Amino acid sequence: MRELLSAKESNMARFVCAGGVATVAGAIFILASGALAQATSSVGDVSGFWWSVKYSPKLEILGGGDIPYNDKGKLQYTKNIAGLRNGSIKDDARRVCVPDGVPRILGNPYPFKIVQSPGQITLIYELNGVLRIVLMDKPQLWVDVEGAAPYYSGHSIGHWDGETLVIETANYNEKTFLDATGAPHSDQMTTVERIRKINGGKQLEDVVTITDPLMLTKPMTARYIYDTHPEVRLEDYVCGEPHRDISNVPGVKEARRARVQ
Amino acid sequence: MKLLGIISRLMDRQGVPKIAPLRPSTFLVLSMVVIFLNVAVAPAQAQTRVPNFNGIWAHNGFDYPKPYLTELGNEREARGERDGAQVTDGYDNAYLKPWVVELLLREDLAERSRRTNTTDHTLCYPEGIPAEFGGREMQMLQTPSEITMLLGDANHSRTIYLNRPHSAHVVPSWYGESVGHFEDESLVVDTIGIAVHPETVSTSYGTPHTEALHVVERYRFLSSDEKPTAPSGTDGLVDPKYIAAGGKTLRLTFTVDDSGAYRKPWSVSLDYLPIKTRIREYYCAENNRDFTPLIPTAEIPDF
Repeated sequence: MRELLSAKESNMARFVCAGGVATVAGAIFILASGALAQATSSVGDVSGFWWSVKYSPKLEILGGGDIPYNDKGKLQYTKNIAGLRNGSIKDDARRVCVPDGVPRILGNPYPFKIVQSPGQITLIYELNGVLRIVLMDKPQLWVDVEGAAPYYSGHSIGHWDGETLVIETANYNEKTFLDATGAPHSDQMTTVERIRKINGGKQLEDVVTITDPLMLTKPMTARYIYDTHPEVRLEDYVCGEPHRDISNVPGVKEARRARVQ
Repeated sequence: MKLLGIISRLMDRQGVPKIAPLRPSTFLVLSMVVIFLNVAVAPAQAQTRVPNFNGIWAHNGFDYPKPYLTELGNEREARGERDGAQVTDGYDNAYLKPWVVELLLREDLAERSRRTNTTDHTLCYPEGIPAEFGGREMQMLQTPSEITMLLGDANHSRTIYLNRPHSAHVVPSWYGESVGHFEDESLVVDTIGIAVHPETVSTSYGTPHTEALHVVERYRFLSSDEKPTAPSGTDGLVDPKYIAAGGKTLRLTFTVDDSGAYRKPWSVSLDYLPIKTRIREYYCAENNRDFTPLIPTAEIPDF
Protein backbone atom coordinates (compact mmCIF):
# COMPACT_ATOMS: atom_id res chain seq x y z
CA MET A 1 0.00 0.00 0.00
CA ARG A 2 2.90 2.36 0.76
CA GLU A 3 4.32 1.69 -2.65
CA LEU A 4 1.01 2.61 -4.23
CA LEU A 5 0.93 5.82 -2.28
CA SER A 6 4.47 6.73 -3.28
CA ALA A 7 3.66 6.13 -6.91
CA LYS A 8 0.62 8.34 -6.62
CA GLU A 9 2.52 11.14 -4.95
CA SER A 10 5.20 10.83 -7.57
CA ASN A 11 2.55 11.15 -10.26
CA MET A 12 1.15 14.23 -8.60
CA ALA A 13 4.55 15.84 -8.47
CA ARG A 14 5.17 15.15 -12.12
CA PHE A 15 1.72 16.43 -12.93
CA VAL A 16 2.26 19.76 -11.24
CA CYS A 17 5.77 20.18 -12.62
CA ALA A 18 4.57 19.33 -16.13
CA GLY A 19 2.19 22.25 -15.95
CA GLY A 20 5.08 24.60 -15.53
CA VAL A 21 3.92 25.78 -12.13
CA ALA A 22 6.55 26.37 -9.46
CA THR A 23 7.71 23.15 -7.82
CA VAL A 24 6.86 24.65 -4.44
CA ALA A 25 3.18 24.38 -5.33
CA GLY A 26 3.69 20.69 -5.92
CA ALA A 27 5.41 20.36 -2.58
CA ILE A 28 2.55 22.09 -0.83
CA PHE A 29 0.11 19.84 -2.60
CA ILE A 30 1.97 16.75 -1.50
CA LEU A 31 2.00 18.02 2.08
CA ALA A 32 -1.72 18.64 1.88
CA SER A 33 -2.35 15.25 0.38
CA GLY A 34 -0.54 13.69 3.34
CA ALA A 35 -3.62 14.40 5.40
CA LEU A 36 -5.67 12.61 2.79
CA ALA A 37 -3.32 9.67 2.53
CA GLN A 38 -5.60 7.59 4.68
CA ALA A 39 -8.57 8.19 2.45
CA THR A 40 -6.81 7.90 -0.87
CA SER A 41 -4.29 5.15 -0.22
CA SER A 42 -6.80 2.62 -1.54
CA VAL A 43 -7.16 2.48 -5.28
CA GLY A 44 -10.93 2.28 -5.18
CA ASP A 45 -13.65 3.48 -2.86
CA VAL A 46 -16.59 1.23 -2.07
CA SER A 47 -17.28 2.71 1.36
CA GLY A 48 -20.73 3.85 2.37
CA PHE A 49 -24.20 2.50 3.05
CA TRP A 50 -25.67 0.02 0.60
CA TRP A 51 -28.97 -1.79 0.31
CA SER A 52 -29.84 -4.75 -1.92
CA VAL A 53 -32.22 -3.86 -4.75
CA LYS A 54 -34.10 -7.14 -4.25
CA TYR A 55 -34.36 -10.31 -2.22
CA SER A 56 -34.58 -13.87 -3.53
CA PRO A 57 -34.86 -16.91 -1.25
CA LYS A 58 -33.21 -18.96 -3.98
CA LEU A 59 -29.64 -18.44 -5.14
CA GLU A 60 -29.83 -16.94 -8.62
CA ILE A 61 -26.92 -18.12 -10.69
CA LEU A 62 -25.61 -15.82 -13.37
CA GLY A 63 -26.82 -17.21 -16.68
CA GLY A 64 -29.66 -19.13 -15.03
CA GLY A 65 -29.97 -22.82 -14.24
CA ASP A 66 -29.66 -24.90 -11.09
CA ILE A 67 -26.74 -25.08 -8.69
CA PRO A 68 -24.22 -27.50 -10.33
CA TYR A 69 -24.22 -30.00 -7.47
CA ASN A 70 -22.44 -33.32 -7.70
CA ASP A 71 -24.14 -36.42 -6.29
CA LYS A 72 -23.04 -35.64 -2.74
CA GLY A 73 -24.33 -32.08 -3.08
CA LYS A 74 -27.65 -33.21 -4.53
CA LEU A 75 -28.17 -35.71 -1.72
CA GLN A 76 -27.40 -33.13 0.95
CA TYR A 77 -29.67 -30.57 -0.69
CA THR A 78 -32.56 -33.05 -0.71
CA LYS A 79 -31.95 -33.81 2.97
CA ASN A 80 -31.81 -30.12 3.86
CA ILE A 81 -35.06 -29.32 2.05
CA ALA A 82 -36.84 -32.18 3.79
CA GLY A 83 -35.28 -31.32 7.17
CA LEU A 84 -36.25 -27.66 6.99
CA ARG A 85 -39.78 -28.71 6.06
CA ASN A 86 -40.25 -31.19 8.90
CA GLY A 87 -38.33 -29.12 11.45
CA SER A 88 -35.48 -31.57 12.04
CA ILE A 89 -33.10 -28.99 10.57
CA LYS A 90 -33.29 -25.41 11.86
CA ASP A 91 -32.45 -22.34 9.86
CA ASP A 92 -30.37 -20.82 12.68
CA ALA A 93 -29.52 -17.68 10.73
CA ARG A 94 -33.21 -16.70 10.85
CA ARG A 95 -34.04 -18.36 14.19
CA VAL A 96 -31.18 -17.37 16.53
CA CYS A 97 -29.37 -14.78 14.41
CA VAL A 98 -26.09 -16.53 13.68
CA PRO A 99 -24.46 -15.25 10.46
CA ASP A 100 -25.85 -16.18 7.05
CA GLY A 101 -22.40 -16.75 5.54
CA VAL A 102 -21.48 -16.07 1.93
CA PRO A 103 -23.24 -15.88 -0.49
CA ARG A 104 -26.53 -15.84 1.46
CA ILE A 105 -25.64 -12.66 3.35
CA LEU A 106 -24.95 -10.88 0.05
CA GLY A 107 -28.62 -10.93 -0.96
CA ASN A 108 -30.16 -10.06 2.39
CA PRO A 109 -32.82 -7.32 2.35
CA TYR A 110 -31.31 -5.11 5.10
CA PRO A 111 -28.77 -2.31 4.58
CA PHE A 112 -25.08 -2.71 5.30
CA LYS A 113 -22.08 -0.45 5.66
CA ILE A 114 -18.59 -0.71 4.21
CA VAL A 115 -15.77 1.03 6.07
CA GLN A 116 -12.31 1.43 4.56
CA SER A 117 -9.48 1.93 7.03
CA PRO A 118 -5.73 1.37 6.75
CA GLY A 119 -5.09 -2.29 5.96
CA GLN A 120 -8.68 -3.36 6.47
CA ILE A 121 -12.08 -3.19 4.87
CA THR A 122 -15.00 -3.98 7.12
CA LEU A 123 -18.48 -4.94 6.01
CA ILE A 124 -21.04 -4.36 8.73
CA TYR A 125 -24.46 -5.85 8.09
CA GLU A 126 -27.53 -4.69 9.95
CA LEU A 127 -28.89 -8.24 9.64
CA ASN A 128 -27.73 -10.13 12.74
CA GLY A 129 -25.08 -7.42 13.25
CA VAL A 130 -22.70 -9.50 11.16
CA LEU A 131 -19.12 -8.24 10.81
CA ARG A 132 -16.95 -9.29 7.89
CA ILE A 133 -13.35 -8.23 8.29
CA VAL A 134 -11.22 -8.17 5.15
CA LEU A 135 -7.49 -7.86 5.69
CA MET A 136 -5.94 -6.04 2.75
CA ASP A 137 -2.85 -7.19 0.91
CA LYS A 138 -2.18 -9.99 3.35
CA PRO A 139 -1.66 -13.68 2.68
CA GLN A 140 -4.17 -16.11 4.13
CA LEU A 141 -1.44 -17.40 6.47
CA TRP A 142 -2.67 -15.89 9.69
CA VAL A 143 -5.38 -18.51 9.98
CA ASP A 144 -2.71 -21.06 10.83
CA VAL A 145 -0.77 -18.61 12.96
CA GLU A 146 -3.73 -17.88 15.17
CA GLY A 147 -5.11 -21.37 14.99
CA ALA A 148 -8.53 -19.86 14.48
CA ALA A 149 -11.54 -22.06 13.89
CA PRO A 150 -13.50 -21.82 10.66
CA TYR A 151 -15.94 -18.94 10.68
CA TYR A 152 -19.50 -18.53 9.49
CA SER A 153 -18.22 -15.69 7.34
CA GLY A 154 -14.90 -17.40 6.62
CA HIS A 155 -11.54 -15.66 6.66
CA SER A 156 -11.25 -12.90 4.10
CA ILE A 157 -8.31 -11.21 2.47
CA GLY A 158 -8.59 -8.49 -0.14
CA HIS A 159 -6.79 -6.45 -2.74
CA TRP A 160 -7.63 -3.84 -5.34
CA ASP A 161 -7.79 -4.65 -9.01
CA GLY A 162 -8.05 -1.12 -10.36
CA GLU A 163 -11.16 0.29 -8.71
CA THR A 164 -12.57 -3.17 -8.03
CA LEU A 165 -12.23 -4.65 -4.55
CA VAL A 166 -11.43 -8.34 -4.74
CA ILE A 167 -12.26 -10.37 -1.62
CA GLU A 168 -11.04 -13.95 -1.39
CA THR A 169 -12.53 -16.02 1.38
CA ALA A 170 -11.77 -19.49 2.68
CA ASN A 171 -12.11 -21.36 5.98
CA TYR A 172 -15.89 -21.31 6.07
CA ASN A 173 -17.64 -23.58 8.52
CA GLU A 174 -20.34 -25.95 7.27
CA LYS A 175 -23.15 -24.45 9.31
CA THR A 176 -24.57 -22.05 6.75
CA PHE A 177 -26.72 -22.47 3.66
CA LEU A 178 -26.05 -20.85 0.31
CA ASP A 179 -29.61 -19.53 0.32
CA ALA A 180 -32.92 -19.71 2.17
CA THR A 181 -33.92 -22.96 0.44
CA GLY A 182 -31.21 -24.82 2.36
CA ALA A 183 -28.68 -25.18 -0.48
CA PRO A 184 -25.61 -26.78 1.15
CA HIS A 185 -21.86 -26.27 0.84
CA SER A 186 -18.84 -27.95 2.38
CA ASP A 187 -16.08 -26.46 4.51
CA GLN A 188 -13.90 -26.62 1.40
CA MET A 189 -15.93 -23.88 -0.25
CA THR A 190 -14.02 -20.78 -1.32
CA THR A 191 -15.43 -17.57 -2.71
CA VAL A 192 -14.02 -14.70 -4.73
CA GLU A 193 -16.01 -11.48 -4.73
CA ARG A 194 -15.43 -8.62 -7.12
CA ILE A 195 -17.01 -5.47 -5.73
CA ARG A 196 -17.18 -2.19 -7.61
CA LYS A 197 -19.31 0.89 -8.00
CA ILE A 198 -21.49 1.07 -11.07
CA ASN A 199 -23.91 3.63 -12.55
CA GLY A 200 -21.72 6.54 -11.52
CA GLY A 201 -21.48 5.38 -7.93
CA LYS A 202 -25.24 5.15 -7.41
CA GLN A 203 -25.00 1.39 -7.18
CA LEU A 204 -22.58 -1.25 -6.00
CA GLU A 205 -22.07 -4.59 -7.69
CA ASP A 206 -20.78 -7.76 -6.02
CA VAL A 207 -20.04 -10.62 -8.40
CA VAL A 208 -19.23 -13.72 -6.38
CA THR A 209 -17.71 -16.89 -7.76
CA ILE A 210 -18.26 -19.93 -5.57
CA THR A 211 -16.01 -22.98 -5.75
CA ASP A 212 -16.61 -26.14 -3.76
CA PRO A 213 -14.75 -29.28 -4.88
CA LEU A 214 -16.74 -31.49 -2.48
CA MET A 215 -20.21 -30.41 -3.56
CA LEU A 216 -20.09 -28.65 -6.93
CA THR A 217 -19.12 -30.03 -10.35
CA LYS A 218 -17.88 -26.58 -11.40
CA PRO A 219 -17.62 -23.07 -9.99
CA MET A 220 -20.74 -20.89 -10.20
CA THR A 221 -21.23 -17.15 -10.20
CA ALA A 222 -23.94 -14.89 -8.77
CA ARG A 223 -24.38 -11.13 -9.02
CA TYR A 224 -25.80 -8.81 -6.37
CA ILE A 225 -26.69 -5.15 -6.87
CA TYR A 226 -27.06 -2.57 -4.11
CA ASP A 227 -28.34 1.01 -4.14
CA THR A 228 -26.45 3.71 -2.30
CA HIS A 229 -28.24 4.91 0.85
CA PRO A 230 -26.16 7.64 2.49
CA GLU A 231 -29.10 8.55 4.75
CA VAL A 232 -29.14 5.17 6.49
CA ARG A 233 -28.05 4.60 10.06
CA LEU A 234 -27.65 0.98 11.02
CA GLU A 235 -30.19 -0.15 13.59
CA ASP A 236 -30.27 -2.90 16.21
CA TYR A 237 -31.06 -6.35 14.92
CA VAL A 238 -31.93 -8.87 17.61
CA CYS A 239 -33.81 -12.05 16.72
CA GLY A 240 -37.43 -11.98 17.84
CA GLU A 241 -37.49 -8.19 18.32
CA PRO A 242 -39.06 -5.68 15.92
CA HIS A 243 -36.83 -4.53 13.06
CA ARG A 244 -36.98 -1.85 10.42
CA ASP A 245 -39.62 -2.20 7.70
CA ILE A 246 -38.18 -4.02 4.70
CA SER A 247 -41.47 -4.88 3.03
CA ASN A 248 -40.69 -2.51 0.17
CA VAL A 249 -37.60 -4.47 -0.86
CA PRO A 250 -38.76 -6.42 -3.93
CA GLY A 251 -39.08 -10.11 -3.11
CA VAL A 252 -39.57 -9.77 0.65
CA LYS A 253 -43.39 -9.78 0.63
CA GLU A 254 -43.40 -12.76 -1.70
CA ALA A 255 -40.92 -14.64 0.49
CA ARG A 256 -42.95 -13.94 3.64
CA ARG A 257 -46.15 -15.02 1.90
CA ALA A 258 -44.53 -18.23 0.66
CA ARG A 259 -43.38 -19.10 4.19
CA VAL A 260 -46.91 -18.80 5.54
CA GLN A 261 -48.31 -21.15 2.90
CA MET B 1 -10.76 19.34 2.38
CA LYS B 2 -13.49 17.82 0.25
CA LEU B 3 -12.35 19.87 -2.72
CA LEU B 4 -8.79 18.74 -2.15
CA GLY B 5 -9.99 15.18 -2.25
CA ILE B 6 -11.83 15.75 -5.52
CA ILE B 7 -8.78 17.39 -7.10
CA SER B 8 -6.59 14.59 -5.84
CA ARG B 9 -8.92 11.97 -7.30
CA LEU B 10 -9.12 13.84 -10.61
CA MET B 11 -5.36 13.88 -10.81
CA ASP B 12 -5.16 10.25 -9.91
CA ARG B 13 -7.67 9.20 -12.54
CA GLN B 14 -6.15 11.20 -15.31
CA GLY B 15 -2.55 10.09 -14.90
CA VAL B 16 0.39 11.84 -16.45
CA PRO B 17 -0.07 11.20 -20.18
CA LYS B 18 -3.62 12.56 -20.29
CA ILE B 19 -2.68 15.55 -18.22
CA ALA B 20 0.00 16.86 -20.53
CA PRO B 21 -2.40 18.49 -23.03
CA LEU B 22 -4.04 20.57 -20.29
CA ARG B 23 -3.31 24.26 -20.59
CA PRO B 24 -0.84 25.83 -18.15
CA SER B 25 -3.53 28.28 -17.07
CA THR B 26 -5.59 25.36 -15.80
CA PHE B 27 -2.70 24.22 -13.67
CA LEU B 28 -2.21 27.70 -12.36
CA VAL B 29 -5.83 27.91 -11.28
CA LEU B 30 -5.70 24.47 -9.72
CA SER B 31 -2.50 25.26 -7.88
CA MET B 32 -3.86 28.56 -6.63
CA VAL B 33 -6.91 26.74 -5.31
CA VAL B 34 -4.64 24.27 -3.56
CA ILE B 35 -2.48 26.99 -2.04
CA PHE B 36 -5.55 28.92 -0.94
CA LEU B 37 -7.05 25.83 0.66
CA ASN B 38 -3.81 25.09 2.47
CA VAL B 39 -3.70 28.57 3.90
CA ALA B 40 -7.37 28.45 4.83
CA VAL B 41 -7.34 24.96 6.30
CA ALA B 42 -4.02 25.00 8.15
CA PRO B 43 -5.08 27.18 11.12
CA ALA B 44 -8.22 25.11 11.63
CA GLN B 45 -6.14 21.94 11.76
CA ALA B 46 -3.75 23.49 14.24
CA GLN B 47 -6.59 24.29 16.63
CA THR B 48 -8.17 20.84 16.56
CA ARG B 49 -5.43 18.31 16.05
CA VAL B 50 -7.26 15.12 15.36
CA PRO B 51 -5.53 12.10 16.85
CA ASN B 52 -5.65 8.87 14.92
CA PHE B 53 -7.30 6.15 16.99
CA ASN B 54 -7.45 3.58 14.21
CA GLY B 55 -6.43 0.23 15.59
CA ILE B 56 -7.33 -2.75 17.68
CA TRP B 57 -7.23 -2.14 21.41
CA ALA B 58 -7.37 -4.39 24.44
CA HIS B 59 -7.53 -3.78 28.16
CA ASN B 60 -6.98 -5.98 31.14
CA GLY B 61 -9.50 -8.78 31.22
CA PHE B 62 -9.99 -8.68 34.99
CA ASP B 63 -9.38 -5.16 36.10
CA TYR B 64 -12.72 -3.43 36.20
CA PRO B 65 -12.58 -0.78 38.91
CA LYS B 66 -16.08 0.07 40.02
CA PRO B 67 -16.57 3.19 42.10
CA TYR B 68 -19.92 1.91 43.26
CA LEU B 69 -18.35 -1.13 44.93
CA THR B 70 -16.89 -1.03 48.42
CA GLU B 71 -13.12 -1.20 48.77
CA LEU B 72 -13.31 -4.89 49.61
CA GLY B 73 -15.54 -5.52 46.63
CA ASN B 74 -13.04 -3.88 44.30
CA GLU B 75 -10.17 -5.88 45.79
CA ARG B 76 -12.04 -9.11 45.22
CA GLU B 77 -12.86 -8.06 41.67
CA ALA B 78 -9.20 -7.26 40.99
CA ARG B 79 -8.15 -10.66 42.35
CA GLY B 80 -10.68 -12.33 40.11
CA GLU B 81 -12.46 -13.87 43.08
CA ARG B 82 -15.75 -14.32 41.39
CA ASP B 83 -17.88 -17.34 40.75
CA GLY B 84 -19.84 -15.71 38.03
CA ALA B 85 -20.48 -12.37 36.52
CA GLN B 86 -20.40 -10.46 39.76
CA VAL B 87 -20.03 -11.63 43.32
CA THR B 88 -19.04 -8.82 45.58
CA ASP B 89 -19.15 -7.76 49.15
CA GLY B 90 -21.30 -4.76 49.20
CA TYR B 91 -22.05 -1.63 47.33
CA ASP B 92 -21.14 1.91 48.07
CA ASN B 93 -24.45 3.56 48.70
CA ALA B 94 -23.00 6.98 48.06
CA TYR B 95 -23.50 6.20 44.39
CA LEU B 96 -26.37 3.76 43.97
CA LYS B 97 -30.02 4.32 44.71
CA PRO B 98 -31.63 1.78 47.06
CA TRP B 99 -33.56 -0.06 44.32
CA VAL B 100 -30.33 -0.61 42.40
CA VAL B 101 -28.53 -1.95 45.48
CA GLU B 102 -31.44 -4.25 46.20
CA LEU B 103 -31.40 -5.64 42.68
CA LEU B 104 -27.63 -6.16 42.65
CA LEU B 105 -27.71 -7.91 46.03
CA ARG B 106 -30.44 -10.20 44.78
CA GLU B 107 -28.22 -11.19 41.86
CA ASP B 108 -25.26 -11.78 44.15
CA LEU B 109 -27.37 -14.09 46.28
CA ALA B 110 -28.32 -15.95 43.15
CA GLU B 111 -24.66 -16.31 42.23
CA ARG B 112 -23.73 -17.58 45.68
CA SER B 113 -26.47 -20.17 45.63
CA ARG B 114 -25.03 -21.37 42.31
CA ARG B 115 -28.20 -20.59 40.51
CA THR B 116 -27.72 -19.44 36.98
CA ASN B 117 -27.80 -15.70 36.84
CA THR B 118 -28.91 -14.65 33.41
CA THR B 119 -27.80 -11.30 32.08
CA ASP B 120 -27.89 -9.63 28.72
CA HIS B 121 -24.42 -11.07 28.19
CA THR B 122 -25.24 -14.68 29.00
CA LEU B 123 -28.43 -14.46 27.00
CA CYS B 124 -26.70 -13.14 23.88
CA TYR B 125 -28.33 -9.74 23.82
CA PRO B 126 -26.18 -6.75 22.90
CA GLU B 127 -24.63 -5.44 26.09
CA GLY B 128 -25.13 -1.76 25.52
CA ILE B 129 -23.28 1.11 27.11
CA PRO B 130 -21.53 1.14 29.59
CA ALA B 131 -21.59 -2.65 30.04
CA GLU B 132 -19.69 -2.97 26.78
CA PHE B 133 -16.61 -1.39 28.33
CA GLY B 134 -16.26 -4.63 30.25
CA GLY B 135 -15.36 -6.19 26.90
CA ARG B 136 -11.69 -6.84 26.46
CA GLU B 137 -11.10 -5.89 22.84
CA MET B 138 -12.39 -3.22 20.52
CA GLN B 139 -11.36 -1.79 17.20
CA MET B 140 -11.79 1.80 16.08
CA LEU B 141 -12.35 2.55 12.42
CA GLN B 142 -11.94 6.29 12.13
CA THR B 143 -13.10 8.45 9.26
CA PRO B 144 -13.64 12.22 9.20
CA SER B 145 -17.41 11.87 9.66
CA GLU B 146 -17.74 8.94 12.04
CA ILE B 147 -15.96 6.37 14.12
CA THR B 148 -17.14 2.80 13.91
CA MET B 149 -16.29 0.76 16.95
CA LEU B 150 -16.15 -3.00 16.57
CA LEU B 151 -16.82 -4.69 19.89
CA GLY B 152 -14.72 -7.82 20.04
CA ASP B 153 -16.38 -9.66 22.87
CA ALA B 154 -19.86 -9.21 21.50
CA ASN B 155 -19.24 -9.15 17.77
CA HIS B 156 -21.34 -6.05 17.51
CA SER B 157 -20.54 -2.58 16.34
CA ARG B 158 -21.57 0.93 17.27
CA THR B 159 -21.21 4.19 15.42
CA ILE B 160 -20.05 7.52 16.82
CA TYR B 161 -21.22 10.33 14.58
CA LEU B 162 -18.68 13.13 14.60
CA ASN B 163 -19.38 16.85 14.88
CA ARG B 164 -23.14 16.46 14.87
CA PRO B 165 -25.74 17.17 17.54
CA HIS B 166 -28.00 14.48 18.93
CA SER B 167 -31.22 13.82 17.04
CA ALA B 168 -34.24 15.77 18.21
CA HIS B 169 -36.00 12.52 19.06
CA VAL B 170 -33.62 9.68 19.80
CA VAL B 171 -35.09 6.23 19.26
CA PRO B 172 -33.83 4.08 22.14
CA SER B 173 -31.44 1.31 21.10
CA TRP B 174 -29.01 -1.04 22.81
CA TYR B 175 -25.98 1.19 22.20
CA GLY B 176 -27.94 4.42 22.20
CA GLU B 177 -27.10 7.37 19.99
CA SER B 178 -23.46 8.45 20.18
CA VAL B 179 -22.13 11.75 18.90
CA GLY B 180 -18.52 12.79 19.22
CA HIS B 181 -16.04 15.58 18.73
CA PHE B 182 -12.36 16.18 19.32
CA GLU B 183 -11.32 18.40 22.19
CA ASP B 184 -7.75 18.98 23.35
CA GLU B 185 -6.55 15.90 21.46
CA SER B 186 -9.25 13.81 23.10
CA LEU B 187 -12.23 12.18 21.48
CA VAL B 188 -15.32 13.04 23.48
CA VAL B 189 -18.33 10.80 22.95
CA ASP B 190 -21.78 11.61 24.30
CA THR B 191 -24.34 8.81 24.40
CA ILE B 192 -28.04 8.96 25.24
CA GLY B 193 -31.07 6.90 24.23
CA ILE B 194 -29.75 3.65 25.71
CA ALA B 195 -32.68 1.27 25.78
CA VAL B 196 -33.96 -0.07 29.08
CA HIS B 197 -34.31 -3.81 28.75
CA PRO B 198 -35.28 -6.40 31.38
CA GLU B 199 -31.98 -8.17 30.84
CA THR B 200 -29.83 -5.05 31.18
CA VAL B 201 -28.45 -5.79 34.61
CA SER B 202 -25.05 -6.29 36.12
CA THR B 203 -22.34 -7.55 33.87
CA SER B 204 -18.76 -6.19 33.99
CA TYR B 205 -19.92 -2.61 33.62
CA GLY B 206 -23.60 -2.82 33.84
CA THR B 207 -25.88 -1.80 36.59
CA PRO B 208 -29.57 -1.37 36.18
CA HIS B 209 -30.36 1.93 34.56
CA THR B 210 -33.28 4.08 33.53
CA GLU B 211 -34.07 6.07 30.41
CA ALA B 212 -32.15 8.97 31.93
CA LEU B 213 -28.82 7.18 31.42
CA HIS B 214 -26.21 9.49 29.95
CA VAL B 215 -22.65 8.31 29.30
CA VAL B 216 -19.69 10.48 28.32
CA GLU B 217 -16.51 8.81 27.08
CA ARG B 218 -13.16 10.54 26.65
CA TYR B 219 -10.38 8.80 24.73
CA ARG B 220 -6.81 10.13 24.62
CA PHE B 221 -3.27 8.85 24.27
CA LEU B 222 -1.22 8.90 27.44
CA SER B 223 1.92 11.01 27.34
CA SER B 224 5.26 9.32 28.03
CA ASP B 225 5.37 10.55 31.64
CA GLU B 226 1.95 9.18 32.56
CA LYS B 227 1.82 5.74 34.12
CA PRO B 228 -0.52 3.39 32.30
CA THR B 229 -2.65 0.78 33.98
CA ALA B 230 -2.89 -1.26 30.81
CA PRO B 231 -2.46 -5.03 30.87
CA SER B 232 1.11 -6.12 31.33
CA GLY B 233 0.38 -9.28 29.47
CA THR B 234 0.85 -11.47 32.52
CA ASP B 235 -2.46 -10.60 34.07
CA GLY B 236 -5.86 -10.41 32.53
CA LEU B 237 -6.54 -12.23 29.35
CA VAL B 238 -4.38 -10.49 26.77
CA ASP B 239 -1.70 -12.82 25.48
CA PRO B 240 1.58 -10.83 25.59
CA LYS B 241 2.58 -12.03 22.15
CA TYR B 242 -0.34 -10.11 20.67
CA ILE B 243 0.52 -6.78 22.29
CA ALA B 244 2.08 -4.44 19.74
CA ALA B 245 5.48 -3.35 21.07
CA GLY B 246 6.09 0.35 21.53
CA GLY B 247 2.47 1.33 20.92
CA LYS B 248 0.80 4.22 22.65
CA THR B 249 -1.55 3.59 25.56
CA LEU B 250 -5.12 4.69 24.92
CA ARG B 251 -6.99 5.85 28.00
CA LEU B 252 -10.75 5.73 28.17
CA THR B 253 -12.37 7.68 30.97
CA PHE B 254 -16.11 7.32 31.05
CA THR B 255 -18.67 8.98 33.25
CA VAL B 256 -22.05 7.43 33.89
CA ASP B 257 -24.91 9.64 34.96
CA ASP B 258 -28.45 8.45 35.61
CA SER B 259 -30.62 10.39 38.02
CA GLY B 260 -33.04 7.47 38.08
CA ALA B 261 -30.49 4.91 39.29
CA TYR B 262 -27.52 6.75 40.80
CA ARG B 263 -27.25 9.31 43.57
CA LYS B 264 -24.33 10.90 41.72
CA PRO B 265 -22.35 10.20 38.54
CA TRP B 266 -19.46 7.77 38.66
CA SER B 267 -16.35 7.64 36.48
CA VAL B 268 -13.86 4.97 35.56
CA SER B 269 -10.56 4.99 33.63
CA LEU B 270 -9.46 2.02 31.57
CA ASP B 271 -6.18 1.80 29.66
CA TYR B 272 -5.98 0.02 26.33
CA LEU B 273 -2.90 -1.22 24.51
CA PRO B 274 -2.70 -1.81 20.77
CA ILE B 275 -2.79 -5.47 19.82
CA LYS B 276 -1.63 -7.23 16.68
CA THR B 277 -4.41 -9.76 16.44
CA ARG B 278 -7.82 -8.88 15.10
CA ILE B 279 -11.43 -8.95 16.12
CA ARG B 280 -12.44 -12.56 15.73
CA GLU B 281 -15.81 -13.92 14.82
CA TYR B 282 -17.75 -14.77 17.94
CA TYR B 283 -21.39 -15.65 18.07
CA CYS B 284 -22.94 -15.98 21.47
CA ALA B 285 -25.95 -17.96 20.25
CA GLU B 286 -23.51 -20.63 19.15
CA ASN B 287 -22.13 -21.13 22.64
CA ASN B 288 -24.98 -20.42 24.94
CA ARG B 289 -27.47 -23.01 23.77
CA ASP B 290 -28.02 -23.97 27.40
CA PHE B 291 -30.12 -20.88 27.71
CA THR B 292 -32.36 -21.75 24.78
CA PRO B 293 -35.11 -20.63 24.45
CA LEU B 294 -34.14 -17.56 26.49
CA ILE B 295 -31.64 -16.35 23.91
CA PRO B 296 -33.07 -14.05 21.23
CA THR B 297 -35.10 -16.35 19.02
CA ALA B 298 -37.43 -15.67 16.13
CA GLU B 299 -40.18 -18.28 16.10
CA ILE B 300 -41.32 -16.94 12.75
CA PRO B 301 -38.52 -16.16 10.29
CA ASP B 302 -38.19 -12.48 9.50
CA PHE B 303 -38.16 -12.99 5.73
